[in-house]
Amino acid sequence: MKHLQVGKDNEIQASGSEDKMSNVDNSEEEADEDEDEEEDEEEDEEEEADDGFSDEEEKTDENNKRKLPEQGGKQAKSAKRDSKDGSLYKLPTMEELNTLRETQMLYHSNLFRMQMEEMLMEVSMKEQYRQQLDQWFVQFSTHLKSMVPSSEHKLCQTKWMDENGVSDPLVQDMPKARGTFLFAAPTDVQFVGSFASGTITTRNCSVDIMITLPKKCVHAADWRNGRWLVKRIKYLAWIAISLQNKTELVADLNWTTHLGSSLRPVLQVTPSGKLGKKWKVNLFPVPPPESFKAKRFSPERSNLQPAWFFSEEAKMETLPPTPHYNWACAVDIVMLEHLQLLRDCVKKHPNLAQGIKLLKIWLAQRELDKGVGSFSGHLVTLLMIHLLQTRKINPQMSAYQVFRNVIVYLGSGNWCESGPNMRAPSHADNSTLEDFHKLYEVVFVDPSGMVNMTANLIAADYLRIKHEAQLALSFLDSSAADSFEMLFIKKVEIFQLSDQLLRMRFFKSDAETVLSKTIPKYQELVMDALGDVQRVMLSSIIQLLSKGLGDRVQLLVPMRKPPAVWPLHQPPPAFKKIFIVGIVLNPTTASALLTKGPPADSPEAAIFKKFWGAKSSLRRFQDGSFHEAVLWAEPQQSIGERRLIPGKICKYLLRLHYRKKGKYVYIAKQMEGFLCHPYYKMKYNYATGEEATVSAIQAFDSLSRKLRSLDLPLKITAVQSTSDVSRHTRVFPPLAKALRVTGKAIEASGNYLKFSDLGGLYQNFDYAIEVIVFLEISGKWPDDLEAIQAIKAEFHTKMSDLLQKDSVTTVVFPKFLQILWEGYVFRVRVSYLREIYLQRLVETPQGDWQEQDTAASIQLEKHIEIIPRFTTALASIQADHPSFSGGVRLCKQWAGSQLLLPHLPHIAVELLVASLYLNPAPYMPPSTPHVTLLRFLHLLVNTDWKMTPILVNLNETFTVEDVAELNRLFLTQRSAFPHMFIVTPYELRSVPSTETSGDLQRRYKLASMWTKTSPSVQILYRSKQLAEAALSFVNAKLLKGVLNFKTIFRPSSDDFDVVIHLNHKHLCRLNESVNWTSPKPLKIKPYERHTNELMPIVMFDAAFLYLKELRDAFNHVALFFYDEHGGKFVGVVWKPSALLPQELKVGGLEGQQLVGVKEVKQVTNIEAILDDFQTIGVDLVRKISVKNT
Amino acid sequence: MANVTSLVQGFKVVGLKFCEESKGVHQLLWKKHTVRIHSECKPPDRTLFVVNVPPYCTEEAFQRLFSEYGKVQNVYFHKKPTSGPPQSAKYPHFSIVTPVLGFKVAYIVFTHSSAVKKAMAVPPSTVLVLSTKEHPVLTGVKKWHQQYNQQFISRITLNKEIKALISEYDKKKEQEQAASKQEPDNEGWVTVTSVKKKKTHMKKIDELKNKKNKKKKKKHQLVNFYTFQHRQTKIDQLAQLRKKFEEDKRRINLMKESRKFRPY
Repeated sequence: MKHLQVGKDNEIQASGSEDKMSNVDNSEEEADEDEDEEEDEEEDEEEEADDGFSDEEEKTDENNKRKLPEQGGKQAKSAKRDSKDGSLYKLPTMEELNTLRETQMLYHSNLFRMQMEEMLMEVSMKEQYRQQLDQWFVQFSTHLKSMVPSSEHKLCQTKWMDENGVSDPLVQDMPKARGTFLFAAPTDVQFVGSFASGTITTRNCSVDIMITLPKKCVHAADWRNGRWLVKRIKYLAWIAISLQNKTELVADLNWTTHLGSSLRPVLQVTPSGKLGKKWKVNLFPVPPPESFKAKRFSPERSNLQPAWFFSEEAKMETLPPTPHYNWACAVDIVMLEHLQLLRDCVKKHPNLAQGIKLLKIWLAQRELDKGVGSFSGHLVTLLMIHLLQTRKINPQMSAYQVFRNVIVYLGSGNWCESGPNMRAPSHADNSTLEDFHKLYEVVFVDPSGMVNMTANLIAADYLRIKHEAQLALSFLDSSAADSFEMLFIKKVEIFQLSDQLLRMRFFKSDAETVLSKTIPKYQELVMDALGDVQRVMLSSIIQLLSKGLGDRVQLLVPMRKPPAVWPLHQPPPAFKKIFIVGIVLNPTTASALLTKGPPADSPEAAIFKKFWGAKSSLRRFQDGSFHEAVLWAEPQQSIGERRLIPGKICKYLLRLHYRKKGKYVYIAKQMEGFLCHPYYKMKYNYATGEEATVSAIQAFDSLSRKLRSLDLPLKITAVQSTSDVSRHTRVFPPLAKALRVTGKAIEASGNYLKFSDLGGLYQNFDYAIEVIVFLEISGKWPDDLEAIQAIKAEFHTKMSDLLQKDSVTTVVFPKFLQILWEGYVFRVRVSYLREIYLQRLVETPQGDWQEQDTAASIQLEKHIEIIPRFTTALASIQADHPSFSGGVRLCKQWAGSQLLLPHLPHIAVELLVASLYLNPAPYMPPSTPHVTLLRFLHLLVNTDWKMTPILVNLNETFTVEDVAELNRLFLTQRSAFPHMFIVTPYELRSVPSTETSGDLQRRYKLASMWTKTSPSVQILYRSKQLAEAALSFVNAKLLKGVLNFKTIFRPSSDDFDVVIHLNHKHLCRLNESVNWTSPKPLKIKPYERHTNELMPIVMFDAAFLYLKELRDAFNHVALFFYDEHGGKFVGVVWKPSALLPQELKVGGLEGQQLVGVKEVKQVTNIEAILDDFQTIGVDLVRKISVKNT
Repeated sequence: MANVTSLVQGFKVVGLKFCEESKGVHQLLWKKHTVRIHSECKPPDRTLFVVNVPPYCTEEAFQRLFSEYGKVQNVYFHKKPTSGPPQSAKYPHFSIVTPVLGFKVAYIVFTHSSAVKKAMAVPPSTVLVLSTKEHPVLTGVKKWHQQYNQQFISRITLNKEIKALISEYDKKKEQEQAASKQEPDNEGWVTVTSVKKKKTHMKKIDELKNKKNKKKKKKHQLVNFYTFQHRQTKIDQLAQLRKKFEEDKRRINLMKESRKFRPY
């Protein structure tokens, strides 16, 4: 539109009038129903003329006429004209303004708000079910209320239950309760919990119903010796029997537990019909109000008699408090009170209800909301009310703010020392907070002041929640991550969370005897739990471990099972004495060699000694003090071995304290084993190869110093490595090996080795580290590309001469200088930055030179500008996270062994792993290679590459605008970018400003350059499938404690059309293979300096050369898969298009043959190509097998 | 082998085996080289144009193979058919020309035009054999060994090449300079011709200047001086907010499609 380029007066006027004209037109058309949106808006404008904005249009026109130097009006007008942007400038309604403003103030961001609303909609209970449930409830409660009362039974009698096929769901070894039981129809039936307060989510598909027993069913002495707990079961059983045949009402009946507590089984009813497929109903019988004295179940009271529990023999002088038993009973008593509170507080404030839902989802994704030691939904609701009462949150807050404030609160306090107390002033005479803390590990006192809501939690459970809350807060505060997804959508799994795992199996009877000796007051605790010792055991184990590990770990995460649901006629599932504890390491201290104890003369020394047993010894420290200490490893041990110290400690302590009464498996090193180099005899142990990488880098550093010291015509300003070794990402870093002497296969020629004509075998692979060198700026460089190569060669020769004077072995090649330095081989290339610019110049048809990106210039830019910076950035990740190297290399080893490399480019794998370290949410950064691999697999499985851009913020160099712009570009031009989109800050070019679109384009032109050509959609799909299989295999094995993971590193040859088997004798890198076992150990001796060293055979790998020729020749018809780490076969997959006859294009024939008589077509000449596979790889190829189709 | 007529689009179809024992047979297609633009090195009457040449065919092997039809003067390989001269590098070690890899096309220049006719007259069932016992074509491990050994270039050849290249470059530069400083002729006129030159950053400098000016202008401008301007910025801000809102909405919809909101 020409009038947009406002330059002259009359033009503006013309445009102005035009505008008015169109306006008039619109108003005339108002009656027309088929108006498009834009016109609608204009209509709006005229209606709300008194809003102050409406005459904006006329005004701007006038302003233009007055030739005022502004742009806003123009823009506004141009936007108006553009039908798409038009809606942006319509008048805001009050509501819209409010939403926009609210979003800014009350929510994290626009997107966050919308995501949140979408998700809440998704998890809310459907109205349809709500109505069905209400209807069902009416029928159900009439049924209950119409039930016929029974005669009196003995409480311990179960005959009537057995006859009707209902088993006793209570703990089996509990002594029999005395007293009588009598059924009578309930006085009241009503909804409680999340359904009543409107905070129910689809995650926890059970609705709670409270059934109030009539007065005559409950005796005054029922508080005693488990009678109430038995009575409520009998009551439920009676109901269950009556429901068994009511198929029109009930589809299924099961037992389950309340909060995983074996003391409190509940009856789970599945309503019949469609409702029951989604929702279940839990029944909670409660005693009528005031049937027990208020303080009867205060935690410090003793309500169980040892004489009853242990029969007559056991004698205890005083009656011990029974806090957990009291909790189990009191929960029923306070249920009504809680319900009223819920109704008062939550129902009135929809935002709070939404906030509670958010918290529930957050907990559910961390598997913290169910089972033993869970942070139940009811607890969340009470906590919210507590915060409301203490004015930490207010009802005006948005759901997001509510969530955030609760998270802040959870992350800050310490409920193990002073938990929140909701006790109402009216209950002030109840036990104090201190009493609670003495009796429970974690405390949250309910409004009655009687019940500890967190009675079932052990300290580790609480610490986990606290840790998660702190993490959540950090995600919310960080701008980088998509915090919404991290908090609410991504599942947090224990195997992904823990750096290492400990799996313990106890043999039942043994364990109990040991425990009874090690845990003080064990008998009391057992009685309190009515014989269910699981919690007691777990708590004591975790206490032991966390004391032993100290600050080596950030977190010990016991693995919890979801609560059991079992059929009515079965006994409760037996408790298995298998514990899996996840260990989240503290990377800085985890591998400390020494556990330092108290000074030798302090009284704590004795305790320390007793705790650590024989391993503790007296040591003198550098400051001259003497301390008790335990030494775990010698200082010369490798990083790989030192990573295993926490496991050593755990196993030692468990053996010491629980003796050999269990089986302990430490899961950490099994995966890392695949990085080992078994036949390596060196000063240091190779282990997982971190040290080998470091010593290669040290050699590079000393070479760099040497090069800088050379007296060249131009000084060397920078020496940079572009090799993956310097990024710590080469799976098997080069080693300084003893040099080879000549043999049958190789002969000396000058100062280097070459292949002889005798054709012997050569099975060694030496890797050359690529180095680039920059010289100081000079104006004398030629501006001809070939001449530049010659000048570079001259520098190489000069360097070579100078180095040879110092008797360093060097060989000059036309394009680089090869140096043998401290047993490593380096390839040095002089680089000239202006060459990129010269490569970019393209001659136009007019005979001018124009600057534009060419393939060669981009390639050069990548190699001499981007990769060196990228290399240092990855090296700095290694400096921050010592496990990075091992992690990346393990992931590469896996990808290699599954033949995904280089279809999934090496650098892409490195970047993905780097992103796992820089963006670890929802976890901490990984601290062991093991967990890095698991998360990498998880990433491959669960990333929707079409929707997810991976921004790897190396060194935090992305600007906020970059992130926004890249996201925008990704969203709007998805198809223009590679299938796997990975951007680092280093491929963004610097531009003078980001205002013009040309500059913007220039800046983001190379985004995701690493994955430009591959992986293809097919490869992504395959990598997803492979990762999925590997991950499910590993998870299953971890759960069982079987630890052979070799399977996931074994490629399958089934999927390939053609398999080319290679001759092992010619595979130079066979010893890198996971599946390789050498018939005779191949001992590698360390390097020693000699004079007149011979340059070894470098970078010669027959399989690699074969692959290259295959790909060069047949890339258009087939894909080739090969494991670069000594793979024994090459897999070939024909491209589907290559197998079909195609139109003949004589000029483009590449290995096709002609078919057809009348109409000649071309088709791939498979037979000849199969023969070519053999021809090209003569000697290397052993056999070619073709899959029959 | 497929049953094909002897000529396809003017091409002769001939079989090619790597060696006697090979089972697979590739098809070579050849015809007389005909193009509009003539090049001296590929005289049309004496040149045979061959397509679908397998990657392992070497110049020597083709020289031998085609000498059956007449004396071969030259064999040129290209990735794609081209009428231009072969991209042979004068300085092989510093060449920036990419080598021809994979399947290729060949131009075989005979000394006499009769050879081309002879080649076109071969019977259709002919199968040529590339590698014979007397003249084996190296492939596989042996070839790679040889390649490895050939990477090593003696210092003398290397130095020679460097010198030649640089002196040629210097000469070229001198000529360019001479061209730009032409002597006036006897009447005192200087002929000015356009000289191809790699222009430096002229365009860029202009851009930069413009930008600087813009910045200056901006500094002098009064922002939000008039009420309408003030109002306008407000409206713009709102529009900006809305735009973001719309964008986010779109994103949400995309996410919805990919079922991103099912937390469980």
